[in-house]
Amino acid sequence: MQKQLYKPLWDYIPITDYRRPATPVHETVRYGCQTWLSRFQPRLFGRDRFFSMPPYLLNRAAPPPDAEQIITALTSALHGWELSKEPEQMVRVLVGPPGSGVEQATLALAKQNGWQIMGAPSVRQILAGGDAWLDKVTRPSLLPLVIPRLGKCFLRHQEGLELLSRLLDWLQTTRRRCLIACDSWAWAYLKKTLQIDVMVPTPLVLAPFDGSKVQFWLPFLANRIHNGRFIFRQMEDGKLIFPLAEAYNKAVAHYRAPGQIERYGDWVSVHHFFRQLAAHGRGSPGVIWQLWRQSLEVTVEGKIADLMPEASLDDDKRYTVWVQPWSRLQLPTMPGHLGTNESLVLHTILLHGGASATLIADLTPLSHNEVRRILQLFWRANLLEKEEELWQVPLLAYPAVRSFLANEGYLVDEF
Amino acid sequence: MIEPTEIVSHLTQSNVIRIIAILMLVWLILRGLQWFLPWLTEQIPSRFRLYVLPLLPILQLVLVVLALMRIVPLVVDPTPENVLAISGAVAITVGFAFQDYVSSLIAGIVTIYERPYRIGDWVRIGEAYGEVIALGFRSIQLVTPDDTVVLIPHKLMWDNIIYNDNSGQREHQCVADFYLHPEHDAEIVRQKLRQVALTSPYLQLDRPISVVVIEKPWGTHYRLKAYPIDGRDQFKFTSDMTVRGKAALALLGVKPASVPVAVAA
Repeated sequence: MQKQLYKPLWDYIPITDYRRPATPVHETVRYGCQTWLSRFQPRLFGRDRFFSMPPYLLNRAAPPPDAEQIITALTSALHGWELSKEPEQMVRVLVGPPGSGVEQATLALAKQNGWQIMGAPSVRQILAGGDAWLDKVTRPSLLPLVIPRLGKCFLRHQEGLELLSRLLDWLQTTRRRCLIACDSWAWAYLKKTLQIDVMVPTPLVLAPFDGSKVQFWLPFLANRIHNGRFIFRQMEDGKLIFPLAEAYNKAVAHYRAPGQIERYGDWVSVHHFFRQLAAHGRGSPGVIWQLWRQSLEVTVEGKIADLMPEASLDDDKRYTVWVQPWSRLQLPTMPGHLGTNESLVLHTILLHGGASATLIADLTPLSHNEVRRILQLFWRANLLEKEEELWQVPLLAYPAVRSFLANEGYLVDEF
Repeated sequence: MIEPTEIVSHLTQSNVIRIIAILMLVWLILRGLQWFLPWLTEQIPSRFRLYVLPLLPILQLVLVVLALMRIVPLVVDPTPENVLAISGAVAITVGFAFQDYVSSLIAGIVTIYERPYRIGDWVRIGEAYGEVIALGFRSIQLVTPDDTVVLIPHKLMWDNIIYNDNSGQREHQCVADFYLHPEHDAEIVRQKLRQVALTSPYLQLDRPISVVVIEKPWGTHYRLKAYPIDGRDQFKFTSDMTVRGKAALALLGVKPASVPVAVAA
């Protein structure tokens, strides 16, 4: 009975079973009308009482997801693969959209088990055909081979697909166990250009986080460290956003047996906010987590002093965190009047899982100056971020950028 | 026999004012539409552009018909005799004085139904090639790749061939030509050119790519055909394929054809 009611929070499913969470239209209309009508009602709390949560506080109220759970789920999904002798079971592929953490989980799992990890070839190696890199890959070994970033093994360049094409040829005939993780954008491109989907077995993907999963997961994140000392209230009316807090805590405690994958049930009604969060975040936990953090605020008279980085939390006290209504969430938006050049830059970055300015200029017909101008434009609009030399789309901006590229007719991922 | 004064007996001073008001209103709405629809296409996603722009001539026609339906009863008493008399007079006058103009107007109405070209299409009419940017009652406006605006009366539709590259679609086929020295492995070149198109950032990946190989007395002519995501980028796309194609062929060691002047002529 419990098996029917409770489902694993982190679960890997075949890509063909993936259904992106959506908000029902009637609910969106109803919520939109309620939001509009609420404008005419007096505000319970003045807007000037609230301010964004400082990072140290955010990390306590909405800490990062526990990597252990993701790795445990992956181990469970790959059960039997390491020992399997069936030729069609030799290669396993994992695909994930930005924020799914699939590449990081694959890498961590490989390190944990001492499997051979093949890092991505350099740009020069890819363009030269990558003989040396492929030699390392195809060298016989009893250890499973892990390629945690397949999306970094190709370039959208006339010489940039050769290496991957040869790798796929080898994968079709190899008797070695291989675990491959690929970014969803690279997967979409390789499907069109190299028909990768017919050359490797059906990939596994992280099951989408829908509204009910999100409603379970987010308070669990805060409770995991601070054991229920954060209370999340809605800014419009002051009501608790997570229903049945006490019952929920008991349920969480019950299902937190050591070594057990966290499970959640459908036994509470799902708040519209979490449906919106799941739908806008396209079911990706990383994107949803960033949106959630963006929605949290604290009040001026909150116990900020008690929550300074060095302060420890008082056991008896509860701290109130305020959740902004979905309609008032400040998210990055696309600037107006964008042309083909801007689209090309964003598309190149997503297709290659991040790219340097030099690489973008090499892969597009744009000049270095034009690329720099566009990167600055998007950086100012919080639509791009730079880590060392690598430009990437931040998870918070990902839904806006993806939607823009889809509307412009560019190839997008299937998640 | 109907007297002209009987036909226009409704044309009082107040009706004249009404007619002027209707004409001004229609003119204002038409100007507004001509501004609004192109503006709207800049605000909405590009893929909807070619659905919105063709609405303009239809809305214009509807407006003019509605205006005529309001104006005619203010001028004449619309009995069968009056309509016949006026139609005859108008037909004779127009037939002699504005033959070309009316021919273009009628062709303009026909284009709304037949749709040989729509706003956003890339067409060739006579020697003019370009994107249709405006569709009026009497003429269309093209912008050529050299940014020259060409005004073409609709009446040319009656006896001219119209080449439409995309016919309401967002993307249309582009061709990059390569002329190579005959001594090379054609299969390798064909595969490489396909890769060139496949890796172009402008490429519409849902449309087919084809490479046509034609042997000539002076060498081998390759035609690389593919579709860009947006037809407006056709020249950028063709240039991109050409530049990268040349680089790829140079890497393969394939030489371009050198055409003797006599053969070329």
